[in-house]
Amino acid sequence: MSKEDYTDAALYLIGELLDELPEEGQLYHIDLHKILYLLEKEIDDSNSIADMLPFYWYRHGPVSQTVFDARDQAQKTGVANVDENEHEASVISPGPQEPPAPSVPDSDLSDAEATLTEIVEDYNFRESRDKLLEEKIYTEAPYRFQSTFKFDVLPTVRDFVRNDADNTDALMDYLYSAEGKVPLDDEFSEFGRVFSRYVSLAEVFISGYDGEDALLKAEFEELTKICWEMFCNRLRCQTADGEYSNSIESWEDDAEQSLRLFRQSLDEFDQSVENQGYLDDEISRINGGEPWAKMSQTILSEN
Amino acid sequence: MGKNVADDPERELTRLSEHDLHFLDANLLIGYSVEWDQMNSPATYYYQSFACNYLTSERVLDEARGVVENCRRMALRVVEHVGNEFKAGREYEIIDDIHKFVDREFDDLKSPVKNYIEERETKFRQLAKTQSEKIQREARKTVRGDFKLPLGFFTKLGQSGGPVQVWEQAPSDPKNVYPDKHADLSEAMSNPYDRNILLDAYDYVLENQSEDVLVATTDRCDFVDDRLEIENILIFIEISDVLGLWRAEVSSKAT
Repeated sequence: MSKEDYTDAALYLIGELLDELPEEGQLYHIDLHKILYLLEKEIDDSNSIADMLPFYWYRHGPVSQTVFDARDQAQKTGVANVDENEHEASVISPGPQEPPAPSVPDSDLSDAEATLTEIVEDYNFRESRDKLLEEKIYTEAPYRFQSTFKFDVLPTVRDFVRNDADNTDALMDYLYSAEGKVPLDDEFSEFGRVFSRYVSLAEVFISGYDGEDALLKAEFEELTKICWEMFCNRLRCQTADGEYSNSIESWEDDAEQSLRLFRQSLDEFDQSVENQGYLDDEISRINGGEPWAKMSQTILSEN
Repeated sequence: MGKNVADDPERELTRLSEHDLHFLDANLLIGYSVEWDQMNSPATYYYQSFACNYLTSERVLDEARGVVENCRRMALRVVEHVGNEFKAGREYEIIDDIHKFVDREFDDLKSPVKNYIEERETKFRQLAKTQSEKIQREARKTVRGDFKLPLGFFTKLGQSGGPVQVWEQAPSDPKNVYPDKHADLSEAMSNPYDRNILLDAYDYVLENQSEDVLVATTDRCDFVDDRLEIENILIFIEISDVLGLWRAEVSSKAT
């Protein structure tokens, strides 16, 4: 089977999927990946289409180069209309053309079509896609860290920055919960180290936050997003199989670069936290009389 | 291999007492600020016995912070596992079973997180027996508070004007500044962090035209065992075996 065969099979399935859409329906590009991921999970392992959809995990969940290629092909051949918007995700709607039948055994194709129909019926095109993503797709994610960071940490940080909602206890608990789920694989060891540093600094900042530092809050939100990107760049390398051997080298470079960017952003945030007096606040809280704080003070008095 | 101080505690005591300037290794900072750390007693003994001018470097503080944060991450990992997947067996085996999980999960029979689990034994027993989200949240909060104190201690030490002078001008990559010493030390010792820490102390001596400096450590494996060789390479540096001295002290009191 060639790459073109993979693309043809995915193009055909995209055509079927667009036919199944509700009246005047359209879907985001990322929905294509999610729906075809669910298809790949649910069809029988012996179905040749399963091997044609090699998925890896990235920022928005599972994605496949086959789906990227098929989407471009669908646009080029008129199977789909793709509305590219610079600032928003591209939106896909049915085009005037039908896709050609792929070189796949008929039984495999009909099984895949039947499964696709069931998935599309369940897939909610109007309401929150995140719910489905969390409940049906991220339960299959290779690391529990992904779900906690994406569905707990990121939205809670967003709320913390947008509002002055009193969610700091929940936010800190989510951060510590995520820290306990950092993958133990050697490839994530440096990520674990910098992530823990990030959690410590978040603790200092959030514990001392008095509601009057919008700029630092924005910096913290940006740092959190960079943290997620850094994780996902490493995640992509770890979850891509042999089908992506040509891309791995540049993805490794991306992972290293995003680690450097995060370290730099972390140092800058550390400096901002110090400049704004948060470290002084932290130190004064620590001198509160707990046993270990007393020990710390012993060293001061002895000198 | 050099001789350990346990062979001659008197000589070591003299060595520590004669130097007015001690360069602190990370284990003495961690041991002093973390109550459950294995080096807590030797570190406390050291500070109580030797009042002198303390010096360290930013690299040492970073290492100390990294070690404590790493231990926190492991402790949270154990909370996550025990709170969600742990099958509690017989009551008296719970802590042993958690230790076995730590051995397997982190592939480290000497993991410091086992000391922490013993320190918070009641909390981990409760977590193993009552797997609820509320208990897990409480456990995470306990971990949060326990590790906040030593991390704050390192932050405090890093502030200027503190009781421990922090050498901030040490080269970020000592290999570029001291290529020969770096190469010789690399032959003598395997741990690159420890090698660079020694070069921080060496850099301090050269830059401040100080006579010499005593590196105070409880790390016998990387520093003390090879100290004769290290001291030959870094001529202004001497290394003291705080752990050996403390053990000799405890032993003499016991008899």
